[in-house]
Amino acid sequence: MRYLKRWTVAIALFLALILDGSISHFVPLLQDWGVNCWLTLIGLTLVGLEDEHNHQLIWLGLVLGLIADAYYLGIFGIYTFIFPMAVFGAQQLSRFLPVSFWFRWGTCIIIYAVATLYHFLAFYLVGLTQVSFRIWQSSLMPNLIWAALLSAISYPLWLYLATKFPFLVREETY
Amino acid sequence: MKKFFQNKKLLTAFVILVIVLGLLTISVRLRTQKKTPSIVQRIGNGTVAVVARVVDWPVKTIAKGVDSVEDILQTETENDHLKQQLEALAQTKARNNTLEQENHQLKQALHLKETLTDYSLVTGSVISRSPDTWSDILVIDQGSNAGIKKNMAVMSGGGVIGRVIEVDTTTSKVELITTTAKAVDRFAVEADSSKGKRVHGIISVTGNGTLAFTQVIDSAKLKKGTKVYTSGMGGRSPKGLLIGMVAKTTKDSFGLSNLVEIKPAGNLNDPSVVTVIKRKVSD
Repeated sequence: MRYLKRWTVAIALFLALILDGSISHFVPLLQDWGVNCWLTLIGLTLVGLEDEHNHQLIWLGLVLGLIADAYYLGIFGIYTFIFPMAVFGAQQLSRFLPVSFWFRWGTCIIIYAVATLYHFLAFYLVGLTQVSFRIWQSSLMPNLIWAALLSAISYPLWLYLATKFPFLVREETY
Repeated sequence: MKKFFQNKKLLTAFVILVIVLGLLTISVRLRTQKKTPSIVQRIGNGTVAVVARVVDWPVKTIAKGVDSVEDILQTETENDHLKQQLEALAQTKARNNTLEQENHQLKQALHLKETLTDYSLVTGSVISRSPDTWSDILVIDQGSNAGIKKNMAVMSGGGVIGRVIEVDTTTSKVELITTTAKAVDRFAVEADSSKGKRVHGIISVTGNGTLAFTQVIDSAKLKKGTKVYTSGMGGRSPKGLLIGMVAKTTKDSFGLSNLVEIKPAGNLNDPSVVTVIKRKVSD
């Protein structure tokens, strides 16, 4: 049981990854508005902000990125880059930011926006999309609103998991 | 240059960038060229698909509940419409049966084996959709175990919605017809013009995500509402699968050639059940 506790965050993030695909499938409105459904990204950012000294989280992000790339896209280098970088960015930022909901909420939205931009540029560079930059711009606002909504709703859950069940940290050390 | 190599942070960022770009380029090329992904990837995808089916269940139940309420509200209109269709269906079925028998007899008389219109079907359910907006990829619960192969056409809601791009053991990835990717196999299509002449072309996607019938020589004769079918050319999909209807004919961005916009017949928005088309004639 103690062993399982160390992996709770990883299991929750993995389930969030699966949920991303399910929500995207059952809520077609998201695709119509050009919205990326990345609950995993929000989770990784918030866990990274709370557990800023845990470098294992970056590896967790990398593994989740590999799974997401293999399962959803069949190519590597999209989520494999976005997820660990989101954790790294969040952990770096947490050193300067005050521990408050509003700052963390804002960080989530900023990281979501940067990830959306990277995602579009990477797809454009390798020829997986040919849509214009203007279309990406028009999808930015719905993406930010969705990110704001997701992070506000899931904030207590990720905070609870990061505090109660820190990833791969033995309870005896506390 | 010396300063660049001494700055560890900058150097690390540069190395990561090169690795990521290399990884992207190689994996895109491998996905296009290889018939099946590596064994590790197939096992991984199969495992994730099992969890996805479990997670999908409560989400599906909620979504179905919402849909049911919507369905109840539309029942009366739908019922009237279906009654009208039912009357015509019996006649169409009988005629289809006769034509099928006649076609079979004629093929036998000509010693023809299988033609471009011969295909079999595999039905599957969509278990996930790529959570990002630019990739247009669905994950379905049928893979190489069910005989699915790369590049098979996929239909939903009465029309073609895409093509299989990756086949794992128990799951497959379907890229929607609306994808704007450069290196994608486009469907070769045909339609009958107003003068009865058959017009050939391919389906592509415009910058704003609309389907278009391109590389057409005499597109002006394609009237609004003309049905566009796959032609079976190009060795990927069978002949006669409905792609959509001509919505309007406009000029392209340069104002030189006609751009025939197509309204897709398939259910691209919310495809829950899909049919994979296995062409009987080899490529």
